[in-house]
Amino acid sequence: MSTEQKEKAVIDLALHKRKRVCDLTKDDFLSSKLAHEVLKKTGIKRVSDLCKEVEQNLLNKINKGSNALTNTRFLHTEPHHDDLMLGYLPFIVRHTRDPQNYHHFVCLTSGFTAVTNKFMREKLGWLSSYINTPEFEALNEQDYFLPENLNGRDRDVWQYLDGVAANSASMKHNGIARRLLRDLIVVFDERNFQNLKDRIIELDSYFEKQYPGKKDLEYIQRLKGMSREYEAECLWGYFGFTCESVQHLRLGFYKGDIFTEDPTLDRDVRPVLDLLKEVKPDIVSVALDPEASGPDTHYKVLQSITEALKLYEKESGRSDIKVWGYRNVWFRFHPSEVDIAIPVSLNMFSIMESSFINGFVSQKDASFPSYEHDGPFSELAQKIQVEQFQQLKTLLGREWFYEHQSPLIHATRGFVYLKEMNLQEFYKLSRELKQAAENR
Amino acid sequence: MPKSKSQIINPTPLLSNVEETALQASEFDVLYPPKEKIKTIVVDNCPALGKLAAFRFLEWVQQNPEGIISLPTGKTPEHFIKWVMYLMGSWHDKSLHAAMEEFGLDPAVKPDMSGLHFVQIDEFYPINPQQSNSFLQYINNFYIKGFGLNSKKAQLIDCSTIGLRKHETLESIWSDGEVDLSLRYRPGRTGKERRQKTLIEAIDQWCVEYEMKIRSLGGIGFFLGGIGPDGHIGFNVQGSDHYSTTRLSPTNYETQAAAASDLGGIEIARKRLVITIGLGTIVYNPQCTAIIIAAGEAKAKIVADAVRKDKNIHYPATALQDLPQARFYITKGAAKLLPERQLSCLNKPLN
Repeated sequence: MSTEQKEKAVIDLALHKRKRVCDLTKDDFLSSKLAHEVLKKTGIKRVSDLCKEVEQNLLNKINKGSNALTNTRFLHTEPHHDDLMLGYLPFIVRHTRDPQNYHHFVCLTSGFTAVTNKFMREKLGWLSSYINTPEFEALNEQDYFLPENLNGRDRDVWQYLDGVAANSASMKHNGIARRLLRDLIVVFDERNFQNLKDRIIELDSYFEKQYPGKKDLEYIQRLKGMSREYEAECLWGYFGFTCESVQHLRLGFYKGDIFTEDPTLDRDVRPVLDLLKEVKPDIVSVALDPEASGPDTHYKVLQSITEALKLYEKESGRSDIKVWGYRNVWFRFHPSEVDIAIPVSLNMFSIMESSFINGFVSQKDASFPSYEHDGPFSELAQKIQVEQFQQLKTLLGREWFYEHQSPLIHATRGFVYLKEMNLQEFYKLSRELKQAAENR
Repeated sequence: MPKSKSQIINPTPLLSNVEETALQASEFDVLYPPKEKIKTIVVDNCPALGKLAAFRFLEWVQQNPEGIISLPTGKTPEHFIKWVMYLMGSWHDKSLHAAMEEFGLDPAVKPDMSGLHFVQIDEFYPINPQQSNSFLQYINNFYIKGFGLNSKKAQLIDCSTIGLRKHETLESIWSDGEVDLSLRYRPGRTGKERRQKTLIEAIDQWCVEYEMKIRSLGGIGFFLGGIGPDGHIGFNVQGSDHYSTTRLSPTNYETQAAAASDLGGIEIARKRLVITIGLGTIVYNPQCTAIIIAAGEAKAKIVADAVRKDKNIHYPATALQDLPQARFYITKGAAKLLPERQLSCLNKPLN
């Protein structure tokens, strides 16, 4: 019997009885077949000894989640552009406060399927109103919109964030329009403003005429994906990162077909391997969805990262890399499955909501919501984190939180869970690419 | 004492060869009575789930070459479809025969799909069947063409032909895509509403005839479906009557959210109704092999309810309990909230 099985049985019993772990009695264990069997199997004579062990494990998890690492290089990976922030934003933010840490954020797919035609038309409308202004003409003369102008990319983000700060819709729309224009220049390989204005009309007509849900043409997919990429840059811009720290891999298996292709070594694994070589991370985070509970993109991204890490470990000799598995709105960890429990305060909930609503403009209407919650994903993520806090409050008792000496624990109203693994543990948990195909 | 009739009928019919083989490879039994009420086979992962469903389907077709089948749409059956196509395409490849035998399938008899009758489970309404996100398109692509089914023996739901007059289109009647079902019970106030009302009546009549056709064939012999976030089977959402038949029906939020990505957003999904066969349609044939497939931990709660609860309208899949050949094929993650199975895990050695 594993520690996880033991913990799970005790935790479930305590939650079922609505008791603190330390208050469980022998009668409680006798009332549950599973818990009783676990008690027998552990060979532990006294119930209180088993409960103390489980309680201590829970405290260790919280302790680990209350501290931050230093001098650490993080590669934060996500299948879609909002997975990281919905997964473990509070822990990311805590680690960004230490300047000795290095952070690199990477989204592995283009994410275009989550951008509606209606939203694209709205953006084109904003661009139409700005493209004729002296401001945009002046920017154009300064080569601001050229793809190679990296400072211009950052300024698109800053312009938008200035608008967030000033609570000014026009400033925000200005930033969005700048980036959309830059994207059109790249997608159409066209720098002439007049021709680009024609493209805007053409695109508006396209988005108006397509029925919702239709698979888009490849260049439209690219354009929609770029919308999400800009939003991710705005999100991490919120926390002071420039576009250089935010990378978009656009793995090739993600094509918008009903059945996505399996990842391949050259097309999907190689870009991740190159990134690992560039970032040289100490910690790699992954959306941990080994059975494809949520979107199967999560599962395929996990496969790509697993293969890349195996190759990287072999090439670099770095076997000390830790993997942080996170989950967000699609399904949850049981407290027994995780190693790190991160306290989340009301303050952090505000940051999450504000950065989600302001950063992910394409998602604020929640056109593709979870079946669990009719609203933006940030609201659901908060709901889950609050539920996780309520679980731990039951397991440890409210006094533990409210009488704790640490203001961090005092202020806790939510919890984020992470599973920490060494590489071998991660490989075991994940599944290999060939196995996924089952010898087909 | 002589056995009563109910005692004489074998209450636990044998598993098929394919199922027996899958069960041997599984760490669990097929049923943990009395808590579990539907036989359940657990496999390791999503591709393995598709493989099991495909082998069982082909085994059934070998035995019922003129049977009536209903197969699912959406992402869930991806591996099922790929496995069926692969096996059918390589049936005479002798290198595969050992694998087929190992999995309980007889390689000597290539399943003949041409004699099968196909019954479409459900469809959004209104939806243009030419759209790539209509279920009809999916069925035409993957099952009629992909599996080589006989289109003349396919009973399909084509929204563009149900109740419409010449020169009418779905768009001309439902210009905003919204169907007001209150017209069933009130008079139309405008000319447009009066036409909409007669069309709804025509659809309702069409649904009755659709149901009659299924029943006149003896009912569905092989049903394969997924299970929705609210437990829906077909589009029989939570609360559906266990004796329900084919009908035009609204859906609930959970179903709309799950359909949002197919339809291009929840805004569209909220407006759509569905035409679905009923739970009563599925269980009409008591010999129906009804298999529900579910993968991943996110489905664990809904699977546990479906397998363990008494028959109740809150859990549509519990309607299948009367079918001796009802099965759940699920992954390990989806089995996580089946306590009897978790208990049995405690007695297994750690890997």
